[in-house]
Amino acid sequence: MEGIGEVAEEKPRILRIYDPMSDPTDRQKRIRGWNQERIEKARVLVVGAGGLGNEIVKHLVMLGFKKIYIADYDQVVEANLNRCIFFRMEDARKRKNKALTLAERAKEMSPYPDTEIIPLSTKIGDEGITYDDKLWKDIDLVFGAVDNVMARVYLSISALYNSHELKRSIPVVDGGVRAFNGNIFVMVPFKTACLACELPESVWTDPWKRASCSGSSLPNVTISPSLPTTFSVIAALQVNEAIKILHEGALGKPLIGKRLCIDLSRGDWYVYEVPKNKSCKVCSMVPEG
Amino acid sequence: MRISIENRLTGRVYDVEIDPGHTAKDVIDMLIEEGYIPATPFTDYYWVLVDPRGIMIDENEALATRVREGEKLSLVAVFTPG
Repeated sequence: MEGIGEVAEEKPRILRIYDPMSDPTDRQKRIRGWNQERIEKARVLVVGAGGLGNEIVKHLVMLGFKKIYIADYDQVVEANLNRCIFFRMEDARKRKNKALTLAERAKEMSPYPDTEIIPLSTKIGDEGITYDDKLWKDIDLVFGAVDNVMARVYLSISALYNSHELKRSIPVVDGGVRAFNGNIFVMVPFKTACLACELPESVWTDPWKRASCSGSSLPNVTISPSLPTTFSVIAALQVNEAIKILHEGALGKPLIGKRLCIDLSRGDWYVYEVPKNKSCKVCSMVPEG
Repeated sequence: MRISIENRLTGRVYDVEIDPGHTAKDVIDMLIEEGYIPATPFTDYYWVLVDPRGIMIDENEALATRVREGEKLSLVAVFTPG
C-alpha cells in the first residue's frame, strides 16, 4: 500500500505481446538464418500462369512475398484444372485470362492484407514484357514457368538485356515439367549459362516447335502430359532456390548455374553444372556489364 | 577408348567404344541411329551428356577431353514444358 506523500514506483509496462499463434510467418522465422524482411522486400515476376505458375504463386503468397507480378496472355481451359489450384471450372467456361484469374484468387488466399499481385495479360517476347523498362526496374528475381523453348529463349534475352541496362543482375529460376519428369535451372545473367546455352543446334532450325499445356493453333504443337504432383515438386524447388538466392547464402548455397532433374517414376534426382556456351546465340546478343 | 553412358531417364547403362575425335553429338546420334534411345526424349526435350564430375558437355566437344577410359557419363533429358 502506498502511504500519503509517497511516490508510486512505476510498474514495468508491456509494450507488445508477440503471440506465435497469430503470426502466419512465425514458423518460417524459426529457421536459422531466415530473414522475413528479405522476402517481404523482394519484387518478383512469374512468367507463365499455368501449372507451375499457380504453384509458385501459392508458395510466394504463403511465404509473405509482398509484390508479385504475373505475366500470361493465355486463357484458362478445362484441361488446366488437374494442376492449377487457383482455377475453377467457371473460369474455364468463361475462358478468363490466366494471369488475371491467378492474381485474383491468390490475393483472396493471402493471409497478409498488403500483398500486391499485379497481373499482366501479355507474354514474353518482342511485343511482350521483354523490353518493358518500367516493369524490369521493379523486379529483383524472375520465375520461369513457361511451356515452350522460344519463351525460354526470350526469358534469357529479357534477363540479360535488362540486367545489362539496369546494371544489376536479375536471376531467373526456371522450371519445366512433363508427366513424372521435371527440372529446374538457376540462371544469373553474365555469371552462369543462360537458358539457351544448353540448346542443341538443331533447335534453331525449328524454334517455334512447342509443347502446349492448353493446346494451340500453332503448327507442330503437341500436348504435354501433366501431373499435379510433379508440378508441385518442381514449383516448390523453384521457390526454394529463390529463397536461398534472396538470403545470399544464409540459408544454404543456391543451385547457381546448375540444373536439377527429377524423375518421380524412378525416384531419381540428379544435379549437374551447365557451363556457359561460348557460341550461345542468346548470350552473344547482349554485351556483359 | 571404352566408356559407359547411363541413361538417367531409364536407368540403362550403355558401354560404348569411342575414338578420340568423337563428340557428344556423335555418341548421342549413334545411340539414336542404333535404336537405343528415341531422337528426342519427349517433345520439347533434348538429350544432354554430363561428365563424371557433373558438368554438361557441349554437343560439339570431343569426349576424350572430358572422360577417361572406363568412366561413366550421364545422358540427361532437359527443357520441358511448364
